[in-house]
Amino acid sequence: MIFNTLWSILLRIHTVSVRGRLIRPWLGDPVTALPILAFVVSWQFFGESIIFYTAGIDAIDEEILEAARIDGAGFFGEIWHIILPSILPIVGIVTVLIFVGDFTQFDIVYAMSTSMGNPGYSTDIFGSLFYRTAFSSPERGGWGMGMGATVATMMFVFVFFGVSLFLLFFNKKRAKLS
Amino acid sequence: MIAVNKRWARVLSYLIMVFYAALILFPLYLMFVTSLKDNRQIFTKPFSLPGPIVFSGYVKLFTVSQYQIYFRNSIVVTLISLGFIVLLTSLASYALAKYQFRARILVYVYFVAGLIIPIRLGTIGILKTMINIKLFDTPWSLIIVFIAMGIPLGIFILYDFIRMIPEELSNSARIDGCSEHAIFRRIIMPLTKPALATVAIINFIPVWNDFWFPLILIRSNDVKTVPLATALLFGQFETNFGMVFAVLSMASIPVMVFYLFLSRYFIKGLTKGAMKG
Repeated sequence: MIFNTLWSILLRIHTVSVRGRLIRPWLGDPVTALPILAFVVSWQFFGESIIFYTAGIDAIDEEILEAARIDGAGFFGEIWHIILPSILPIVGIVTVLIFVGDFTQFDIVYAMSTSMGNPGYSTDIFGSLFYRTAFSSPERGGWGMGMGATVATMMFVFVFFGVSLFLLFFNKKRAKLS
Repeated sequence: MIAVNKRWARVLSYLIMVFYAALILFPLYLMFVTSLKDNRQIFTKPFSLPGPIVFSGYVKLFTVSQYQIYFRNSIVVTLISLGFIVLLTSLASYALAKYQFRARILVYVYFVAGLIIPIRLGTIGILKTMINIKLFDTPWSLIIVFIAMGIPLGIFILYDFIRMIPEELSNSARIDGCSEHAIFRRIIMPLTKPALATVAIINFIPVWNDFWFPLILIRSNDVKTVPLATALLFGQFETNFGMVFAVLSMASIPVMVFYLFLSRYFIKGLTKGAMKG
């Protein structure tokens, strides 16, 4: 997974669509298409996040855990009071990276539902909208470079505010904990 | 690491890990198995092992579709980009981490801001620039963009790593008459090898897999990369899925080999640098 995002994701697409032909049109139904897409996209970040978290948890000082155990912390107490606060910055980094990655997602949407956001624009997200407006021919929904640049600017505004909110939130949390 | 003592806890954790490994490996298995079937087998029994093993997907790749061109392009673009990324980010991080100058932090933030601001938003600007400097539709356009794509994460990882190398090492080298450039080459570079491997491997995946920039910047057939060429295998009326999965299997081999070679450094690099919150 970690070393293989696009390819294994492409594969996933096929299992989904094959199953769709057998059971129900998961990707053909506007109601289910977007959740399925979200599930597939979320998959892409599994490995990366786990690597970040493992690295963070590895870096926690052994003595702190030892001390907590002597003071009588249970398994869950340990996680909640020691591990979670110390990897909070990493949770922040991972959240921001995933947020940015998801917001500009294009490859998987393009592979699964084309740049038109099929069916019926129900899976149309910023990435596909940007591609369609900026680079498609007019009859396929292209509005030219100017409109594309506008979409990109709007995307930037959203991403920027989102990231700022996340950073603010995690800084506040960290300040409260320390 | 803490030894897990209670038996049920150990069993449970193993169960979870096995489940997760299966979740990861299943698509890879499916990809490989599917590449050895023909269309009829794929749709009648999608999950089973191939009945008669069919190699026609692999054969067609190199006879009908000329995938050797696309693979060569992908490999050339990826290797050149990675080389430049490692070289440039290590030099930049060295300067940022070890020298005091005005606006040092500002320059660092400027580089690292690329992590938060996605490069795709600048696509139109990139496209226009590439047309203006006559690099549109050449591998160099991709290489330049991929280098820019790799720099933020590279500097983010290497900066912390190089900063943790004690200053005494460089100073003693200076006393022995080592030039600044030789300090970088003889002391900093060998000590940051794990981090350099991390940067290379972390950037290898997005560069090798990137679909967006080839889609925008590449038109002619003989400069196409593998992901772009693969998208064209999905025909309007019929798709040879065996062939598609044969490409995917072939394309994931370099990634795995690269990862296995460098993974020893990889984990070490991530735990030591960059992760100091």
